[in-house]
Formats: sequence, C-alpha cells, structure tokens
Amino acid sequence: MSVWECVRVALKMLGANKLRTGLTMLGIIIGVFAVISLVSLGATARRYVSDQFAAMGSNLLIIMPGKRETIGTGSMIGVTNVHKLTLEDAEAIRRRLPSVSGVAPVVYGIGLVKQGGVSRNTFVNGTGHEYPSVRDHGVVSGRFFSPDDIDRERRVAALGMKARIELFGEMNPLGKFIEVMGTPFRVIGVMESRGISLGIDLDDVVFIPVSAAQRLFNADSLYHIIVRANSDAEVPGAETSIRKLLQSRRNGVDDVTIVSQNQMLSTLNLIVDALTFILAGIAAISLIVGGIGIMNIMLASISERTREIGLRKALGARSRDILTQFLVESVVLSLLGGLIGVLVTVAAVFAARSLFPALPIVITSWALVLAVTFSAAIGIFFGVFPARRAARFSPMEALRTE
Amino acid sequence: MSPEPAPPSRETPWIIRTEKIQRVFRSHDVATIALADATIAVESGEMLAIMGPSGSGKSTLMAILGCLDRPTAGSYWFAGREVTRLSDDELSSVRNRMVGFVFQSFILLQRSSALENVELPQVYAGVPPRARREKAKKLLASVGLGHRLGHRPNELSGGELQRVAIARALVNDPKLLLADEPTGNLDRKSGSEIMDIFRMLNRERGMTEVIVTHNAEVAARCGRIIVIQDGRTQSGGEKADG
Repeated sequence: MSVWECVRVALKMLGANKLRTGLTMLGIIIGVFAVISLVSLGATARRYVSDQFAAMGSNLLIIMPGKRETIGTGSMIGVTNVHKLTLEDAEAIRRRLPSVSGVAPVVYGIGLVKQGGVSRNTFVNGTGHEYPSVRDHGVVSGRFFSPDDIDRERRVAALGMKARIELFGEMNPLGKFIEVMGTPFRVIGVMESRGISLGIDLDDVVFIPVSAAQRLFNADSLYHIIVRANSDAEVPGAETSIRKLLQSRRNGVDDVTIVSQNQMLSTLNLIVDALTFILAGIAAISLIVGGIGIMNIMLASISERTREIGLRKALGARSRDILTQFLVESVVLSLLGGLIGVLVTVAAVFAARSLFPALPIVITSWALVLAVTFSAAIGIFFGVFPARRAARFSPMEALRTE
Repeated sequence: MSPEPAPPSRETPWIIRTEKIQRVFRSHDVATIALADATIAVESGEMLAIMGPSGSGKSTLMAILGCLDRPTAGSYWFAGREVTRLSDDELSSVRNRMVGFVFQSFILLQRSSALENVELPQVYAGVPPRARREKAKKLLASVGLGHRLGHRPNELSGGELQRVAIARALVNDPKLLLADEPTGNLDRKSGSEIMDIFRMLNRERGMTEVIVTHNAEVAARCGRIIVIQDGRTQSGGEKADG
C-alpha cells in the first residue's frame, strides 16, 4: 500500500471522528504555538535590546577602574584598592590616541535639583565637552560645555528634555539658574530627547561639567570613561592602545576593565538567548504532552479497529502495511496539528503587531520549520508504539474480535 | 485411515492437502487442543462443505486452510507449496493472491463504498487505481450490484453485503474461495441466492470452494461433505474415488 494511499485512509479516519481528532490536535496546536511564540518573543527581545544599544552611540568602549573577570555592564561604582581613573587619564587618551574620536569622562549621581518653587530628584551626569559626539546626543537649544567650562569648573548645566519640562514648564530655561544639590548652575543648553530605554527615562537628567560634578559628589576620580573609536574596525586597536597607555601611567600595572559596546551587547544577547531556550524548552514539554495524547488516541483507535486490522491482514496486508498505515495516521494527525499551530501563531503575531506597533515583533522562521518538523517527529515517535502493536495482531484473532 | 500419502508433486490435482494437522492454543499453563488430527485433501474445482458442531474445530481448520494461522504440528500443502514453512509476509501474499475469504458477518469497511471495499485486496496487490476500479466494477456487476457501487455497507441489505464480500473475495482471481458460514446471517431467500452464486462460480468458472457450515441445506448443495468432530476429520477427508 503506497504512502499516498495511507494518507487517504488516514484523512478519512480522522475526518470520521472530528471531535476526537480536533481535541488530539489541540494538544499539538498549543505546543507548537507556545514554542514558536516564545522563540519569536526571544527574537523580539533581542532585536529590541540591540536597537536600544544602537541608540547609545556606536563604536563605544567603556573604561572602568579595577580588573574584572566577568564581562558585562558590571557595577559602575569605583572599586577601592586600585588605581583610580582620573581626568588626566581621560585627557591623555583624548590627546595621544589617534584611533579615538572622542572621550567622555563620567561622574554621576542622583541629586536634588531646584528651580523656583519646583524641586526634583534627578540624575546628575557630570561629563566632558565631547559627550555629545561620543554618545550621539546633541543639544536642541543653547550649547553644550566647552573645554574651558570643564577646565575652569564653571557652574553651567545642560538639561535633558524631561528635566527641562519638569523644572521650567513652558519657560525658556536658557540663561536661568537652577540649584543642583544646593549649588547654583546656569542653564546653557537643552539636550534632544532620547526617550525611554530599558525602562529608564534618558531625558530625566541634568548634565554638568565633570569637574563640577567631582566637587558636588566629593569624588576625586572618575566612575568610568566612555571612549568612541573612529570606526568599528578600530575598536579592538583602540582597546589595546588604551590599555597600554593606562598601564604606562600606572607603573606597568594593568588594572582597568575595558568593555566594548559589542561585548555588552553579546552578553545581553547571551542572556536573552538562554532565556529563550529555557522558555522554548518548557514549551516543548507541552508538545510532548500533545504527543502522548496522540499515542493515547491511536491506541484507542487500534483497539476499536482490531477487526479492520484483521480484515486487512486476511486480504493480504503485511505487518509492515499495517505499521505504515497507522504510523501515517499519527503523523498526519500531528503534522496537521503542527501546521494549524503555525497558522494560529502567525495570526497571533499579526494581531500583536497591530496592538503594539512600537515593538519590533518578529517571527523566527527557523522556529516555524523546527516546530513543524518537531511535530512530525512527535507523530512518528508516539505513533510507532501503537502502530507496531497493530502490526503484530494475529489476523485470526483480530477477525474474531467483535 | 488412509495410507501414508507421498508429498504431492506439482502435477497432482490437489489444491489443498493437509496431513495430521494439529493446533494447540496455549494461554498461561493451559493448553487447549482445537485441532487434534485433521487430514483432508481437496481437488482443484471441487465444492466442499466442512460440517461440525460448534467447538468442533472447524473455524480453526478454516483459519489454517486460509493461511490466517499455522498448525502447531502436521503439514499443509496449498497449491503445491508447503505453507507451514512460509514466513508471515509470504503467507500475506498467499492470502492476497490465492485465497478469497467470505465471512459470516461480511466484515466490510463501514466508511468505504461497495466499490472501495471490493478494491481493497488489489490495493495490497499493488494494482494501479484505475485498473482496480475497472475490475471491481465488473465484479460488482457480475454479482448483480452494478447499481450499488457508491453505496456504503449501512445502505445495503444483508444479501447485498454478502455479494459485495464475494466480489471482494474474487477480485484477485484466487485459486480458492473460503467461506465461513456465508449464509449464517442471512434470511432463507438471501442465503439461497448466495449459494446460487457459489454454485455458479464452481460450475461455470471452476472455482475451488470450501464452505464451513452447520447448515445441512447449505452442505447438501456442495459436492462433498467433510465432518469434523472434537478436532478430528471424521469422514470424506479425502475424495472417495481419486
């Protein structure tokens, strides 16, 4: 009996028991839906994270004091007992390394910011004059700090969009004074809006010169230095030369941690991928439960159709014909469930896209292929046992069954 | 008892020859002897009835004759081959091409039409769909069901069902038609019509037929009667005059 013949018989049998077929397929449909949607969710998260990283600027390196084994965003708080990063370090990198296009030293904290009757706890970011080019973050009005502002520790400030609105409302803030942790600063610029990234409002910030920030936060060093390399290709070279330079400034001791943006991204991707696989693995369990449902229904079907099996054998079916017939039936059942599951998932993704247009929702095509292949494999795996049982029936005894 | 028969050569007219067939069923530690000693010989073109009370072993004998089961001891030559030594797949092939079965309870696929039911043995013989459709149509017409091709079993009467079953049994041109109480589930008139078909097939087409029955009227319409009792063939096991 040809496979095509078997498929015809299988469809006829499955069609004859629509409720049962539907319920059995539901197990596979749900499993496939869960696997694909969770894998796609992971891919969506991955895309979202890398979009956010791209918005941070590009070709960035972050220098942190102390040697750390783990790679990642890490803790940004200075580690004691190591050489601290100083403004002079930042200046040396800026002046001496041609592979570097910009350097932004960073000292930050949360501080109380007041204007008129309004006061607000805001992120206070002390940085250097190259910050706008390093982070791709320009001003919309006024100007950013000049090198002179940094050197002379001028009390000038640039406001993030959110801080500007909260403190000044409709007023023009340029030239006005704000009080940052009790010290007056003159507003010289307003930064362009960057929105919310990974749950943090990037516009709720006040920028002040790094030298002024060191005084405000009583810090004699930098928390970290952000360096922008000329191009993606120069990132590794820049990292090596920064390390060498800082080593020579520290009597040969290499105790800085340099993390590139790409490394951070790949670390985050690693986490997202691990979560995706864990979730997909859990979803795969539901697919296996669906497979057990198929085995169950096939066993029931075989005991109901014992006489048919006996008849087929009497009329000349070999054991392998019976085996094929029931195997094809369970594979058709699971494959059909898998395909319906794919359709349901695709429909759900389109629905989600129109509900959340902001999210970059993607369907992972390999997950589709994998889910359908996996459901067919489940049909074979869970179909073999019932089909073998059917194939082994003795024709005489099977015919006598009522 | 007959003398030791020599192993039949291909030239013998015998289509069936069994020698002291035994069939013992074992479940757990209990052995049940269904057939103790069945020795029969059937010539090609014969119409034979096997009679016996229920429990006499006639169903077991029929299963063995139809290659649905193997004897635990003894020999069975079918169409010149010692079938007791064949593999399961070879037995399937013998059933498919050389034996046509007719059962008491018809046993048709309920979800398939009369035509599809008749085609079924050809499916396992690997006949292409168009050819098997043609053959099945012809056979259904020959048993008077040319107008019922697309009907399902639940739309047919008992007599019609058995005629579908006969068409199915004939579709691969078997050497032997094996019927187990073919009139057992039919009224007198339909039963008689079915027996007419068996007679016609035997007379006009030379079909060898073995009919298991306990109905004396059915047996009387066969050329020869073998009686089986307590698993032993009693009389007429071999044709009286070769």
